[in-house]
Amino acid sequence: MNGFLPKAGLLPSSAASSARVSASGVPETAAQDAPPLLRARGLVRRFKVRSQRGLFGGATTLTAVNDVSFDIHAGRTLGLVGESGCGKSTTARLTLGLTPVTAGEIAFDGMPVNGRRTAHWRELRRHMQMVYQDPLSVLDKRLPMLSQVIEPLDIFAVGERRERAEQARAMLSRVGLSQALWQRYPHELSGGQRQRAVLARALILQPRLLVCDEPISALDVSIQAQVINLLQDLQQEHHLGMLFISHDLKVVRQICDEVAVMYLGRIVEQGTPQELFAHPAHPYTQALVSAITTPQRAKYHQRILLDGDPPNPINLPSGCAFHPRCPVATARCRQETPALQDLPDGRKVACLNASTPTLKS
Amino acid sequence: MSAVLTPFVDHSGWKEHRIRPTVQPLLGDTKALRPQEAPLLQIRELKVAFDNGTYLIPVLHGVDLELRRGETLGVVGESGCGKSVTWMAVMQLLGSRARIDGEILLNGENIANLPEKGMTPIRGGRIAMVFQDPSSSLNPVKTVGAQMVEAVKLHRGLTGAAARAEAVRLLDRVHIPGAEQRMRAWPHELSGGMNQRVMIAMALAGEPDILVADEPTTALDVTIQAQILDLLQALQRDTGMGMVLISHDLGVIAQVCDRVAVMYAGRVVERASAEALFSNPCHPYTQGLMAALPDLEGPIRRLEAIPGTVPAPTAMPSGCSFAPRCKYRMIRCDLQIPDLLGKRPDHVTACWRQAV
Repeated sequence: MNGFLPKAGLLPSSAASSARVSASGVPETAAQDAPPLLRARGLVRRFKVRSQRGLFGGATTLTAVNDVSFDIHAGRTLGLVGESGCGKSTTARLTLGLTPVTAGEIAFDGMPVNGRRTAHWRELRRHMQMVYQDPLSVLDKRLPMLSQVIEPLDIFAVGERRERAEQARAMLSRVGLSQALWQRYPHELSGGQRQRAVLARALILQPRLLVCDEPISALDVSIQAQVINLLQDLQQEHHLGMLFISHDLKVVRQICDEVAVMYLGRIVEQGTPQELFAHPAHPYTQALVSAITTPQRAKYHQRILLDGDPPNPINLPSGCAFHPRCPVATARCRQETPALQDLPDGRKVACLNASTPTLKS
Repeated sequence: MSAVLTPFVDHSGWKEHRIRPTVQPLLGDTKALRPQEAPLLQIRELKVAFDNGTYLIPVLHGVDLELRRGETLGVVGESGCGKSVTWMAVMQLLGSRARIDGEILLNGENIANLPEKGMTPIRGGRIAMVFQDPSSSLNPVKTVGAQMVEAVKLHRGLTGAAARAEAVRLLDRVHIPGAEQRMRAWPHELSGGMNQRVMIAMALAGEPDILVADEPTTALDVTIQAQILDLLQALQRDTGMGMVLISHDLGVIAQVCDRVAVMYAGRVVERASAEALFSNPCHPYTQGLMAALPDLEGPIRRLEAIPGTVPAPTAMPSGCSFAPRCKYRMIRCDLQIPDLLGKRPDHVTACWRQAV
């Protein structure tokens, strides 16, 4: 488990992290002993962008992901939540090696993923698949559904031609697409059916890790529930590790075993969804949770309203990036960048004020 | 496919075969009102069909809604249920291929199929609309200020410095910090939340009686959504205008609205006060929508998904349009379309199970 040397002071001890996992009540021994399926340590990704000062502005760097670490175990789901531009999708791409990291290390099953497109990486990619938000734009508009699901098998030359078609048919039936739809083209399907096809295509190679980037945001409520249930069933059947990215905290609570809240490239709070949503420790999480709208909440439920918008990731505020919008910010927050620390209940939070004795007791 | 569509080829009247109750539910509603509370806007039997050149595709099958002064009406439903089309029909923004039938009474005056000339002062002046995606609704090659001044000139007849001052006041009203400087900003320089505030300020320029907000927060982040909802509520309290909030998000509707209409496949299937609807949903579709939403508290349960999909407008079932997906389906559901009925006039449901 110590194949990768984490940055000092950033990581919890492995004992603390397995205690956290055990809080959600699934056979723990396996998860505790087995090394994580995916291990990410101190991920940083910077992009060179043109400065916003006019047409001829010079180059500048945008830090999309800053010092992000997490583990994903087989059969378990890590949720990544946050507002647009906070680095969720970049983290997903880094995880699969679609974008190379600027710094940090990722290991899938002990093997490094560094974004170099080697034959070794292509072999790994077979075990790590991605599901995107908009199914219409990821499906090939000129291929019928069945051919699209056979394609990954062709690429990896799995079995005989006839077997591949057989496997694809079985997978399409499994995700709930009836035979009448197999020869249809993407535009002839509804949104929910398309997302089912995308899932079938992602799962046909029997991956061990599934990265879902907002997989249900484009769907209607009644269809969302169908896809959520399907995802949960498939995860159990295939014992999939999942990274689930969403801005909808209700869905994250439904699906995930652990949640990490991101703000401007950093994880600001991490823990089990039950604890995190019931007693959010970071002021940003508190605002996020209070902004969730549900029919169960009273009409004049007190919402915490944050001032302003998230700052531009090119010119991040000094110190804690959240301090300009934070209701409890102090002078110290302007200078110090808080590290992700353990709370007594096994959660991790990156806030200078959350670690005061009152909160810990 | 053409067999299904034949009833609509006949232009003489694309009326459905439905058995009307002797007392119309709408009349019950009207009687319950005291005279001074005459509704600001009343939509009666609104039907909309789109002409695709060969036949008419009906998308609204008789929608009854009303909006009182100072009230927020929520319209909720999935994509394609007709929630936006209803209000686009009220504003006559559907274009020449739409056939609109029915009554739209604004302060008792029928504005359905009003000629363009009569409609112009109503659009923006009496009824204003805010759309989902602010960055595509604003003109990208004009500054925010120029667009605001244009709206103020058009609706209020102000010119020059007075128009500019009013535009700044409106931007200030929607809590845009540094309104004076932001007048010179371009839409691409502002965030999504700020652009939506500009859209709301523009909608307020005509001092409308009714503000129709069509998914105003769908494109925005959660914390920004909270800001915009708060702003809309505050503006409505201050001005006393009627507000219509169109959304697919039951949570948003529950937080903002006084009364709610649930739409499904071009019909209102349930209409009630927000408290009544969310504490006691009667229509199986409303119940299904609530059960399909994950909770924020309590133990995690498996979501109850509504099976199947929304019927295409070209292949509507002959009876209740929800029947093919409904777990309480009876023979009657496939034969007759249920009317909006209820024990109390302020909570009506279009379901045969409730009616008997």
